[in-house]
Amino acid sequence: MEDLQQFEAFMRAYQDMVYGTAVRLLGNYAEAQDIAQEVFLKAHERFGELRASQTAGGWLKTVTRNLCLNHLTRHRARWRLFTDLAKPGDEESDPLANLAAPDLSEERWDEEARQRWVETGLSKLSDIQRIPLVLYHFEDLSYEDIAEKLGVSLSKVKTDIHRGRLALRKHLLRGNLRPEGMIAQAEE
Amino acid sequence: MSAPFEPKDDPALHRLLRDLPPPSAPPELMASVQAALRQRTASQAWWKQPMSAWPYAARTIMVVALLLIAGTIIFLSEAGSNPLLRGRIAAGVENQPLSSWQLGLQSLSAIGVAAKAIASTLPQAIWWAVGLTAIAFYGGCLGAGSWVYHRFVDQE
Repeated sequence: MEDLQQFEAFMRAYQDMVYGTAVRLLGNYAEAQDIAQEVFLKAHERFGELRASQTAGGWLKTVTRNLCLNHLTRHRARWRLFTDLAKPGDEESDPLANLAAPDLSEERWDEEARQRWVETGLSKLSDIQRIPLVLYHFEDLSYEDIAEKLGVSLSKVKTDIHRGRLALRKHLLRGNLRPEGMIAQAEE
Repeated sequence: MSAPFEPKDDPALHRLLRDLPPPSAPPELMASVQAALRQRTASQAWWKQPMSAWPYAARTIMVVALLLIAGTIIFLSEAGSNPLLRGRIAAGVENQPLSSWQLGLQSLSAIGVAAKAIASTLPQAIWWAVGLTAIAFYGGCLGAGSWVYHRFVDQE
């Protein structure tokens, strides 16, 4: 009984991090919840080691990342095929363009709304752009590591991340936001 | 592992993304994990669960079996050093053919006597060496087993 309570406390401490990593990588809330559940079931099997470990957070993050990438593997062959066939102008028709931009000036955005707008932009990026972008900016992986993990070329990783950044910036601008301005505002 | 950050990698966007708090996990997550854990425990064979969850009959049998094993080991180790028992066994050798039980007991008692004789002649340093070797061997086996498990079984 005590063990279960300790595991609950452990889960409460890490559930946002695990779920957040999954949702950003998968871009899908239901799938992210399934992955998060699987991660915590695995953590429960090793709770004896993890409960006192200083590296439990790192272990959870790595397992989450690997499970998400395994989950995406079945789509990856298709993903590679279509991106290899993609023409240079294809990124113009991005799914973010269909999102209704709120009619708000930068001053009227509160912090939470700004964060939601960025998260929405991330989740609406195509898998091709979102996955390497998240691995680079959130997971601290190098371009080389990302290329190896995704089984694609280094140049493709760089191109996809670059396009992802451009698409995300475009999305932010449609909400009248610029990363530079948001950072300055957050620091005030 | 971590890439050195380059200015051309859009530092403002990088910082903005890094400063985002993780999205909150839905409240259903905790409940679904707890339900899955309960289901997993319920579907697990009783002998794979902790002993406290075993049926009473199985626990009783296990305790009795362990007591019997412990008693037999103590009895057999005593047999080697007990002169009366040794005398009886020896008498059995002279007067009548040995049963398989007596033969086994005699062999064990001979091993016990020999082990005691050797132990009394060895210096203490040897025992330390034997103990440390055993610990190192155990640690080595444990490490190798763990490596094999993580390398080939548990890839996550």
